[in-house]
Amino acid sequence: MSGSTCTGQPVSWLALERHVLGELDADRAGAVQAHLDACAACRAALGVIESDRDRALPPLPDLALAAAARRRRSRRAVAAGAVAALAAAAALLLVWRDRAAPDARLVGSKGGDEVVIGLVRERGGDVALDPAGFRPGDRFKVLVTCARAGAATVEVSVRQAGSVDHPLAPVTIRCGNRVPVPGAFRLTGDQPASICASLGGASACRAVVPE
Amino acid sequence: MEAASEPLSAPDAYRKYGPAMRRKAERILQNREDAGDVVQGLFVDLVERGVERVELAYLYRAVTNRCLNLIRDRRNRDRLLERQQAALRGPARVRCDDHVIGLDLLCRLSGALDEKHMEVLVCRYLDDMSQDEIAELCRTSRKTVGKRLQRIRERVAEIGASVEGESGGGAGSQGGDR
Repeated sequence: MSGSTCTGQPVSWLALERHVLGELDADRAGAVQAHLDACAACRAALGVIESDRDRALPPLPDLALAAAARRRRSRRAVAAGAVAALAAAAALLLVWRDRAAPDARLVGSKGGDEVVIGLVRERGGDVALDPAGFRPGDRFKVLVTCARAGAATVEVSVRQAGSVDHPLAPVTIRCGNRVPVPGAFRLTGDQPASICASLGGASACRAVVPE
Repeated sequence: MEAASEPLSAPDAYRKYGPAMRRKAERILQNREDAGDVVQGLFVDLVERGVERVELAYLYRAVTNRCLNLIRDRRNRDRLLERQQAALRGPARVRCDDHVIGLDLLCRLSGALDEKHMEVLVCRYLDDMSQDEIAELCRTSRKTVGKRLQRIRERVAEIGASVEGESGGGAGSQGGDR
């Protein structure tokens, strides 16, 4: 980090970003430009923005995909409420199945506090929400939905080919809907994998299969 | 400060403001991967929640708060400091007395200041905002911002001496708080 001396009150980074985007009104834009003409330190800051402008962002998930995912979760919740006893039995069965061969959907949850896991997969700049499949090298982020009050520690594990990895350090989050767990990891290999998030005594897993 | 930007849908805001948000997160966290995750996580969350109109000031605060949440966790701090790329901090145009606020000092201060003070700290010493800009962004009075900055200076003075060598601090600062 280099130190630079501004000739007066520096033009904030926010104002510089707006200047570059052409969002400042004429008076403010004129004042900013006049300052930049006289101030090497602020020109250097502007240079940081301009030199970074061509760096691509990974695309966002499609809104329609996200809405479909929300609808799926909503339907799941309604169904779970209507057939609670059956769902509990099914969950047990799915947990058992997960040990043998991971399924492509949500495969299990346990514990007093419900936890739901979501996945974001990035592949060559394409982002998919809650994917069922993976190719070696795909990058994954984990989203956790939980209702616990206050902070909670999440541990992420990946079960694949009989072994269990913990690709992310345990991290404390505040519960909410689809809270991103900091960090990301890549899946490799050609065996189905089960990605799990554990939070206190509760956990949830989602299975992905090789494509 | 200048007029507020027009609200945009989350995907449009991502295309338009995503790069600026990423640069901001990189200034705070000083590594590209975590900064990218913070910004991606924010917009995924907005899309997921079905938020349809967002504007730049909201995004700016949201990125600050998400970065500070990362830093507040001790286990994240170690990882962030390990991955630190000091060049991503950018030119340090505003210093807190003699101290450049970098990631290491930010990590130490996160244990000594509450969320509101930390937000003002980032606005002033990493985003290089004036007190008026901070007051408008944080929707508080200039007087409150001044009080928070005073408290921040006291904490930095207490903590800063021990990290002065690491943070590259030195005399000759401009854009002081007063």
